[in-house]
Amino acid sequence: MKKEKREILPSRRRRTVRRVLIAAAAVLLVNRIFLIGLLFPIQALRHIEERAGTGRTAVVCRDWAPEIYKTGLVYLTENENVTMLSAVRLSFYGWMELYGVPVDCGAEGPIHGGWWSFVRMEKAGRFYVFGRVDDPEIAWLEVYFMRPEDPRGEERIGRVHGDYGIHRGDSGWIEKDGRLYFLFEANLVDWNEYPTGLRVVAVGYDDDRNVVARTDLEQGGVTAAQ
Amino acid sequence: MTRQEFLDQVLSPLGRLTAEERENVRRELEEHVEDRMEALLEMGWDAGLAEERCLEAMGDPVEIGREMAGQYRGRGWLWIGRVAAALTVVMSIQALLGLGMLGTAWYSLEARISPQLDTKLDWVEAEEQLDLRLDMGNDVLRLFRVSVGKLDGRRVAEIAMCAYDRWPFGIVAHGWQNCIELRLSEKEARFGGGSGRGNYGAEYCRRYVSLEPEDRSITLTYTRFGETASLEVPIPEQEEAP
Repeated sequence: MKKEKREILPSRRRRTVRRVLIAAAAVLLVNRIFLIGLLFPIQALRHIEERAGTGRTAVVCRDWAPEIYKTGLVYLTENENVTMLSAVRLSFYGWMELYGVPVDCGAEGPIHGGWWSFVRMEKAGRFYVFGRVDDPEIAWLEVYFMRPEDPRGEERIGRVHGDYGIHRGDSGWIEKDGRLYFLFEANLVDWNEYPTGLRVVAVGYDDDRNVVARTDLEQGGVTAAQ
Repeated sequence: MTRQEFLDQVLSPLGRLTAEERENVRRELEEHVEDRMEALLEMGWDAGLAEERCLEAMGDPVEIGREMAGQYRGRGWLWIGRVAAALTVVMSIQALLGLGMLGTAWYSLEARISPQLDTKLDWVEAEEQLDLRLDMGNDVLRLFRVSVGKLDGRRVAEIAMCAYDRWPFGIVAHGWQNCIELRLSEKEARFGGGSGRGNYGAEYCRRYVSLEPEDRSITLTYTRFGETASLEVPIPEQEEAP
């Protein structure tokens, strides 16, 4: 008789298992149907991949970006045909996608790259230049930008924040699966400084400082938030 | 031994139970005693004697309590259960706040069942409903109508298309419209341009090609992120424009 009663009463473990199953179903439902309530930042990154149409990418590096949002994370991800810079953040709705700049690396070329400028109104922002180097001769890379109204054209981006040239072996060069990636980043001191229509140019040099390649990084964008 | 004393002795080794668990155990034991007593009372037993006999029949209360304590071991289970319950509450709130997202799912379903996009042609000479589908990464590109007519004084073909994710609640890619090239036989399309609408569920687009009378089909090619796919779009029979 006692045994019969014990079967009726749910044990602590059984009750917990039931609660966990209900919670898992709720998470799955909200994640897959309502596309919110993401528990991990990588899930928000998957949403960015879906929206960009890149297919699944692998993380090259990840960086905390408190200048954008206190809980902001910036990812550089890649696959054979794409290099993408993405940003996600934690909000009341769980991890959410902010922005993604995919660069199509499917066509042949020495340098594939893009840029992204994120500003919060009345606050400093963040500026990124990223991409992939496919030419093994390139040992040194510099990034320049042109303002649309600048008659002379070129002005080194390093004017705002330090040195924008990196050498193989520097921390800005990242190797993954035999492919070389670069990521420059800087705080925007004056967010008005980077207008829409910004032209970003990457120049690759060999060890003797001869220009090997010069590419306009056309994929880019400016995100402004309150 | 009274029923209260019996219950207290059963519950004494279960000191780490939550109030809810303790109440559940107490209620179960009391219901059990009540059931047994009811049977004895129907047989004409005295209430006090019936209760005493029932409690005796249940066995040693301390032993019962010790055995029951085994089911309530593990503080970790308790905390996991609480976290799971809290997560369920949070997710339920989010589901309520995110009800608007169901609109995107509706958009996606509409695109795969009955896509809607009006024509921008000034005058339609001929029109044909299509159902041509092309895999585009995780998405499907669907061409659902081709129209021939006049636009800004030119004779053009308008191709109406939409894209949606394979999963009805999924996210459709953005920007595929810029990766589509239209060709007429061996010639490149002489007139591009287009317009559309869209959201996370589906994206619609119209594209235009200038036509010559001898043109019979349009080749649509999608190239993006190392993926290339193409299909042939027939041009509907043309009638003489007024």
